Amino acid sequence: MPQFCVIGLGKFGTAVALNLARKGFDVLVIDKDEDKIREIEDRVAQAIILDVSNEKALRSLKLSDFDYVIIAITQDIEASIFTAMIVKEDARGKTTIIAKAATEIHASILRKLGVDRVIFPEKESANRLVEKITSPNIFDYIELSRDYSIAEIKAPRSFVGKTIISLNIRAKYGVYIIAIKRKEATYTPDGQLEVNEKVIIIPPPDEEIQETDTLIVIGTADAIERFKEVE
Amino acid sequence: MKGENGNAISSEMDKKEAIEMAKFYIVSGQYSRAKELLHDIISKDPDNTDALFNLGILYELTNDLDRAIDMFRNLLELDPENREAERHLSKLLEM
Repeated sequence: MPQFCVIGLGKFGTAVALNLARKGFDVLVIDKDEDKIREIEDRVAQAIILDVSNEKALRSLKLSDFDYVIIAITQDIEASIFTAMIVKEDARGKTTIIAKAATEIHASILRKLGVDRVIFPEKESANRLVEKITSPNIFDYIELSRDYSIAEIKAPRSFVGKTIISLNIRAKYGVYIIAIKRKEATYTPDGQLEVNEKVIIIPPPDEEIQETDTLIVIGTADAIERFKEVE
Repeated sequence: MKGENGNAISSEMDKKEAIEMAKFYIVSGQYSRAKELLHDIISKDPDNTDALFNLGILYELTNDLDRAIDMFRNLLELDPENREAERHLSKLLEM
């Protein structure tokens, strides 16, 4: 099971950490604010009070042992950049580093440092991020209400070549396919290949699922949870 | 290396032809044939940037995104000026 470390317990970092913990993952959280650590420590595997500007202490945590390090610091851009730099140096490609950016310039610096995923608060909810990193088949996740969500899911291999009606998806899994994103390759004028994407909204029942499809489904969180396990 | 017609793909010209063939397989939806051919080329010539690019495209197309990212990263290590690979990589890394 992957190990997670969340640095920075603002609203976003806290939600990501708690969400991961609720799903049963081991999470280490780090913040310099003792009150924030006290609030969360009973609900995550490990909580440490640490100021990330203390390089020696940060390195001593051996963050390269984690599969994911999520840097959720946006109040102090300098601290975010410094942390990303240290984690990147120590990780040596083994750890996926995700960092939240406050501005475009911040994002661009994080990318230059080799951060694997840069996210923007206005685009990303904590729930959406957790779904995307813990479920390799889920490309996107939007909560519509407490009960219903929309997810973008890689078309299961067993669906390829079959029609929507023959798969009986609604009755079997309780989700409804509202659209299909279909990728296709075409030649550019100079003979290179380019990937294009078209969207089929409300696909007809006789639409055949293809290997390059992403299914956009609506359903309850439980139904989506079951559906994403289909291979 | 054995090509589609059973001949060894050794010369630069053979490699170029094999890559064109792989591209045709990709455009016509014959993904496993394309993958096999590109892997063949890369196993003999790991620095072949054309083969890496098209394998990256193939993985991107079939939603094998982590592998696609790896391919474009490998390619950019060999050819840091490759704008197309950079464009694909930044698109894939966007969340």
